[in-house]
Amino acid sequence: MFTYLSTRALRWITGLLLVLFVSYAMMFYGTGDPIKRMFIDLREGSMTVDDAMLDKLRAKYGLDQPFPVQFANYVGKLMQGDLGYSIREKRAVLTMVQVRLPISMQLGLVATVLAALIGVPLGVAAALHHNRRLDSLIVGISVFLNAVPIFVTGPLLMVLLVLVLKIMDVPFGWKGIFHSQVILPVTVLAFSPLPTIVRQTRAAMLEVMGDDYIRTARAKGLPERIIVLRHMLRPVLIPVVTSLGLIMISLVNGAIFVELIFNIPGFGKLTLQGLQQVDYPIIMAVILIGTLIVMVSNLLVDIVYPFLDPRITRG
Amino acid sequence: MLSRTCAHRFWRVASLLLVLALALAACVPAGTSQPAAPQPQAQEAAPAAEQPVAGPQLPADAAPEQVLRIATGSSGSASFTFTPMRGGGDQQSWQTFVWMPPMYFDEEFKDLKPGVFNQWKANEDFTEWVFSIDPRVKWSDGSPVTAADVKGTWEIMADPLTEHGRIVGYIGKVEGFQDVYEQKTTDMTGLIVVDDMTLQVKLIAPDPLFHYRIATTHMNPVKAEQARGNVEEFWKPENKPAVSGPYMLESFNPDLGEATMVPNPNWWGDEGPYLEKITFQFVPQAETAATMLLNNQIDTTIAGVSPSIREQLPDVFRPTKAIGFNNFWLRPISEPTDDLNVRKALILSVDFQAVFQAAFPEGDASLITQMIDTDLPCNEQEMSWYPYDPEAAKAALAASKYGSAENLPKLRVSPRGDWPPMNRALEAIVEFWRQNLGITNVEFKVRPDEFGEDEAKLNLLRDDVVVRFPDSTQYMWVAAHSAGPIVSGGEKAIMAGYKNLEVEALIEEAQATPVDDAKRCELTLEAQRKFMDDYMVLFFGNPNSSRVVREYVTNFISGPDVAMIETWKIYIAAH
Repeated sequence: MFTYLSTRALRWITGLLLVLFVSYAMMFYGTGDPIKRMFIDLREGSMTVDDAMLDKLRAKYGLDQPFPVQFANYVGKLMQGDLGYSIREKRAVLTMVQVRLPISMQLGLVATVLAALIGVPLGVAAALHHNRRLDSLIVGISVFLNAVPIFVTGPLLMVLLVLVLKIMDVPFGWKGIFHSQVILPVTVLAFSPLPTIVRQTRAAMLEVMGDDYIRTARAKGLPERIIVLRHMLRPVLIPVVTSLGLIMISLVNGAIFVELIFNIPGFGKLTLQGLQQVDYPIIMAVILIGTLIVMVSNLLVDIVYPFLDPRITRG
Repeated sequence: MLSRTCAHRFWRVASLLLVLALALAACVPAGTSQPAAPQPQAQEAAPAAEQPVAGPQLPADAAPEQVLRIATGSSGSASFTFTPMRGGGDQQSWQTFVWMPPMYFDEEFKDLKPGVFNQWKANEDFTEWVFSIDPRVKWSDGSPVTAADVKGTWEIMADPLTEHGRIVGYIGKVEGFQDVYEQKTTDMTGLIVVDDMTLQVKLIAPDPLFHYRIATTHMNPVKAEQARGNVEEFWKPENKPAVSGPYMLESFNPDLGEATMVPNPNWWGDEGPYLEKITFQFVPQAETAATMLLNNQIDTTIAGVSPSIREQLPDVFRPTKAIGFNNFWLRPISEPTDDLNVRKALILSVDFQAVFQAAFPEGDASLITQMIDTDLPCNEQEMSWYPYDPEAAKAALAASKYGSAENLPKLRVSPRGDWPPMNRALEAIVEFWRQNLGITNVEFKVRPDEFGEDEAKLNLLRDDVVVRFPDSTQYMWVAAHSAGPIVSGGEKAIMAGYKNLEVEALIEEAQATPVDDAKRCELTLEAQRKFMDDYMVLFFGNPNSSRVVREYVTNFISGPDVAMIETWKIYIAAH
């Protein structure tokens, strides 16, 4: 076990460093100048300060250094737990991440659970009514939700629920995961993975339905409810639940539009803020955290799999 | 197929993960159906030194509850801050709630009104100014605002590490500014504290407009001893900043995008403040802000709400004044627009009325007929340049060194952005060139850098003339002087290569003439005439400026620097 974990950790650190190096290089060589970006008058489209001031500010933030020096400084600070200082917000990036990441994790978790609670039964129902109207309806809705982007469904639902039906206010800010304002953003966020869960469940169910042990269960005279819930659903859920982890990661990292539309101060909005303002420290922190989430999840899955299925070894 | 034991294990692990996840959800910023509890990051103001015994007498038509709900944040700007030291940004609209500017312009952008300074005078050649502080002005901690505070504030602003975006334009001519700007010293020798209530300013060159330049919320004095060494933080509520405006920040949470202001208990003005509380939500998304406005969750926003909500809320777009508008500028540095006759042909072949209609089909704009903004006190209301004259345009093209459209080198044009009205306008202009002059060799790109190596060869660019105080001479300097922002800046400048010594002499003479001298206006108008004879600019219209604010928010008025003016007068009328 120790060898297994140490090998994984080594790969993990190498991979992380590689991601950071590539990301930093892309920002250094590819994106705009964050200092210039600070002083572009959006209305006038022109700079409000002179080159001398820009140079002084580049020096202030260490952006006047060559790439290897900047990257080494960044990694050095990172080793001390310092994610850097936001060029635009004028405060430590770590404090921003500490507040925003948990918000997105809560949203992502609840949206994932909601998507699973809706998606699995729909997938089962579609499989049980294979090639019938209900199946077509469920598959059709899934395809529709998959096709319409969140930045369309979000505002439309908001207008419908807030202005037409008048059953809620525009959610804004963050008042906790149990506040009613969360219902709409979580619902919209759950739309994204829902089709995947429905399709996955439906396909797995169709595969299991033809298995011998199901035919045997029916021959034994077990009620259909027991066959579905006890004999079909369990094996179907294993790959679905496994993918839920990945779904949640993607929701935490990718909830940019939902957080923007519903004005939720989460990780996605922080990502957008970093990108819009070319705020290097924020962009790097977002990439680092996103990468870490994926890596830790994969590590956990690798560790947990052998417990689930002894045929999977840690070789 | 997994065994029953494996399945049990799986469910155990899955249950454990779910419990862990729920525990995580319960740990972080807690939420209930009650209003949000103070967050760990929330920064609360300390209790004020002196609490007011009673609020001011409300106007007769005031609503019983005086809470103003503001959605701040505009598209493209993702920062939520109230720093008074930056000289720009979304927060500039709200600075005057908290800080009193040195002086400010009235809502007509005509009269200069006292702020921290209540008197000002210059010597004969405008190289020295003396400003007197209104003896009533005091900080929220009860101490008086002094000349040393003003000097200290401006010295801090002049330090480039403060990141004030416009400081050079405001006090760049003050003696000793350059040394502070270059960080050789922190003492600006041209700012002299005569006594606690008097500040003398020495300039390196005459400037009859110096008092106009500093009449902006970008130059608000702060308590220098608090700001020095703590520029990024001193204004936050937990640092108990002393403020001079009618309100003070009570809480500020940059992570949640929420802030509140309450009345300054030591407000020194004769009137107001009337609002019990001002709440800020950071809502840069225009659609979200519009929905909140329609749902009566906010009273005003700066998020660029679409005029389409006018049907539901006809009174929500409140017209405001704004100095300056966008134009298309021809560049004499590039062929073929280096030829006066080509420029003349390109301008006279365009029907600006039609271009205006193409740009603003809904008519929410005004037609431009001259260079100087007609909202400025000095302009030529009756004058209209560049009549649509295709025949004259053809004659000019024939008289050019190219002779005809076939010989004309490629024209490269860019609106510098994707704002639909200007793009439509430029497309219409190109079409007029094709129809009237037969010019088809035109390359159109949204952004200049899309031209790559040919960027310096551009023939037409879009930009607006921006001045932050109502002075036509300054307007002409910005537009037409070789040291102004439209012309200067090398080969990629908007109007690179333009220099008319006659125009420059007139502008410079006007600049040296007192503001209240009629000759200043005459010289400026003459400079405009000479400039228009050079055929450098194509007009396409000036969109109407407005603030999105509910009709019951009274006295909600912004000045030429977009900051609200006389914020102590703002109140919520009964509705």
